[in-house]
Amino acid sequence: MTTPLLSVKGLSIGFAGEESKKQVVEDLELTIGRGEIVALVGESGSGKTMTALSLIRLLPHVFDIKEGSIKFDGKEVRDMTAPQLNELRGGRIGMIFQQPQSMLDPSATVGSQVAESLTLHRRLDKQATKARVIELLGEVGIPEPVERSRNYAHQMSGGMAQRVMIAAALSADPHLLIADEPTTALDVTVQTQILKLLERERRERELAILLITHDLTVVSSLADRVVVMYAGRIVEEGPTRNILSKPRQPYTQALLRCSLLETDDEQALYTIPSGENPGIETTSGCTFLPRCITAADIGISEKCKRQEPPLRTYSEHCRARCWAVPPSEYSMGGYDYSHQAGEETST
Amino acid sequence: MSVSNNSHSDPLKSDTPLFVVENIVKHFPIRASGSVRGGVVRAVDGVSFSIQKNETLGLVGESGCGKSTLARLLLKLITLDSGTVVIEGREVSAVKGKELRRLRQSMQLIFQDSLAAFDPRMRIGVSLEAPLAQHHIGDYEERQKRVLRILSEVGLDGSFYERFPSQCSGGQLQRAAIARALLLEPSFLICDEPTSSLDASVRAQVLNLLIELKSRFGLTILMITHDLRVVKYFCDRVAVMYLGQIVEIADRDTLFATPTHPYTRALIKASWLEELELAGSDESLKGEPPSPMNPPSGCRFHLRCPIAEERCIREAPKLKPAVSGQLSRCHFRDR
Repeated sequence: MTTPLLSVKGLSIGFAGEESKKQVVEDLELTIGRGEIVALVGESGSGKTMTALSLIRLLPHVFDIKEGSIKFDGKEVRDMTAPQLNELRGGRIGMIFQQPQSMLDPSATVGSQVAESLTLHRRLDKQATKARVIELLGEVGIPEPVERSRNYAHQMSGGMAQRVMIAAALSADPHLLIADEPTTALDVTVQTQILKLLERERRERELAILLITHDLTVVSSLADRVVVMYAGRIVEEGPTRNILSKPRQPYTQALLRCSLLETDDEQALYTIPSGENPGIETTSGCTFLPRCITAADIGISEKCKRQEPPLRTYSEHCRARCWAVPPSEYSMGGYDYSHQAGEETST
Repeated sequence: MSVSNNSHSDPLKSDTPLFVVENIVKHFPIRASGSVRGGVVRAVDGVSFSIQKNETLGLVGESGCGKSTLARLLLKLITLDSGTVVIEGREVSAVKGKELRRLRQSMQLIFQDSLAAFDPRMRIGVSLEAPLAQHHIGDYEERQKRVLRILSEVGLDGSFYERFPSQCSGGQLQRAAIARALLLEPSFLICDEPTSSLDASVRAQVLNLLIELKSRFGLTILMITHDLRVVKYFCDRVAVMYLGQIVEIADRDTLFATPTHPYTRALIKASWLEELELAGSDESLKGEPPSPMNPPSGCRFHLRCPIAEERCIREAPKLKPAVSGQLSRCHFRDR
C-alpha cells in the first residue's frame, strides 16, 4: 500500500504554553493524494489558515501544535530538523497567498524573487537560473517574460503579481501547493484565469493543491474534494460534486446558500442565523448548535446540546458531523486518494 | 422586502433624476521621470448617465476601469476636466462654500476596506461622532445619543461605542462604516465594493442591511462592484465600464437576459463560477485591460474581444440603443 502525499491525523492546535482546553484546530484529519486538489472551506477564524501553516511548521509563535501527526511523503513533519524544514518549505511544499502584491518584496525585481527559491533549492548556476526564471514566467502566462522579470511589484497588476507568486512557488518543483485564498482579491475575469492556470499546473506537474477559501463557488470548478471547517473542526467532507449538489451538514448547507446569494421567502438574502463565527467554545454539545436551523426544525436539540456529534460516514466517501445525518455502513476505506489506497477511518 | 424594478424606455434617462451626469471627463497627467514615460491616464473618458431618486445603479468593471474615479467625481472630491454633474437641478461645479458643505452632507461614501476606513487609535464611537461635530450638529450629549441610535439601526449594540477597530470583526466594522455614512442622513450613498473583503455569510448580512436601510432612509445608491452576483440581486439598473467608458447600460433584467456587449457577457460568465468548465473550451477573457494611458484604436475592447472584426480596429463604436432596449457600445450589438 503506497502512502498518500500528505496525511494529517488527530491534529490539534492551541495557544502556546497553555494547558487550556481552548483549541484553534481540534482533532483534524486530512489526506491529500498526489495530483489531488483538496479545498479547505470555512469562514474567517474557522482555523483553515492555521491548519495550512502547521503543515510547514510556520504557525505564529502564539500557537503550538498540541497533538497529532503530520506526515508528508511518509516523513513526520513534527520531527523534522531545521535543515529538513528549510528543504520542505518552498522546496517540497510551495505556498501562495491572498494579497500577492504585499507578499512580493517591493525593493527587488520579480525575476530575482522567482530565482531565490531556485538558487536555494536547486543550486543552479547564474545562467541556468536566469533561463529557468524566464521559462517559468512564460509558463504562468506572463507576456514578454524577459522584460517583465526586470519589473518591480508595484509595476504589476494584482493578477500579474499572483502569476509571479505562482511561478516562485512552483520554481523548485514542489509536490504540494498551498493556495490561501489565491483569487479573493482579484477581479472576476482574472480569477478565472488564475483558476485555469492552477488546474493546468496540476495536470502537467501532477501537483497536489490545498486550496483554502471561504467561497464555495471557487471550489466547485477546481477541487476534487471539499473539506468544510467550522470552529476548528471538520464538519463535512467528500467529493466536490456530492458536497455541492447535496450537502448534509446544516453549516455546509447554509454556507452554500450564502455563497450562491440565495434568497428566502421574503426575498431577503439567506444568512446564517445569529451572526458571525463564534470561535471555539468548550461546551459539551455541538459547536454549531446556536446557529443551526435543522436542530430547531426537527426537534433533536436535546441530543445536540448534550453531546458533540462525531464525524460519521453517511455515504460513499462522504462524512458529516451532525446528529441529523444518519450514518451508513459505507466506510471511507474505499476512497481512492488519486490511485492510492486510503486507510480505514470509519468511526 | 423586494427590490423594486424600474423599466425605462431610455436607459440613459430616468424619470425624476437625482443625478444627471453628462459627458464627464477626467484625465490624470503623468509627468515623465526616470523610467516612467509621461502621458495622460484617461481614467474617465466621456461618461453620461443619470440616477433616479430611490434607485440603485450598479457600476461594474475590472480594476482600473475608472469606477472609483467616477465616484470621486460625483462627490466633487476631485474636479472635473469637462462635462457636467447636476444634482437635483444644481450644477455641482458651481456649488461653493457653505452650500458645498451642505451638499456633501447629503452624499456619503462607503469603502471596501473598513479596517482602513477607521482610525485604529480612536474608539468607534469617537470616529462616528466626528462627522456630526464636523457639521456642527447638536452638542456632545445629543451627538452621543445619535451615534448610539444609529449603531442599533445597523445591528450593533451599545458596547461598540467604546470599542477600538481592532476589537471588531470585518462584518462589524463594515456595519459601523455604514452607520457613519448614514449619521448625516444622506439622500445619496456610494458603496465602493462594500462586500468584496467579507465572508459569504457576512456579505449576505451586509447586503440585507443595505436593502433594509435603503427603504427606511429613502436612499439612492450607486453600487460599485465587480461581483455581478451582487448586482443581479441588489441593483435596478447596471452600467458596465471598460477603460473609462460605459460600454453597456441597461435595467437589470434586460442586461442579464440579453447582454449585447461581449465584455458584459464575459463578466457574467466569470461571475458564476459553479457553472465554469476550467478544462473545457476557452471562451473566457484573456489578458488584462490595456493601459488607460494608451487605449487601443477603434473599439477599446477589440484586443480582448472574441468577436472583433477588422471594422472594430478602425472605427470606435458609439453608445447606441440595441433592439433589446439597452444602450451598447458595440458594432454588433444586435447580432
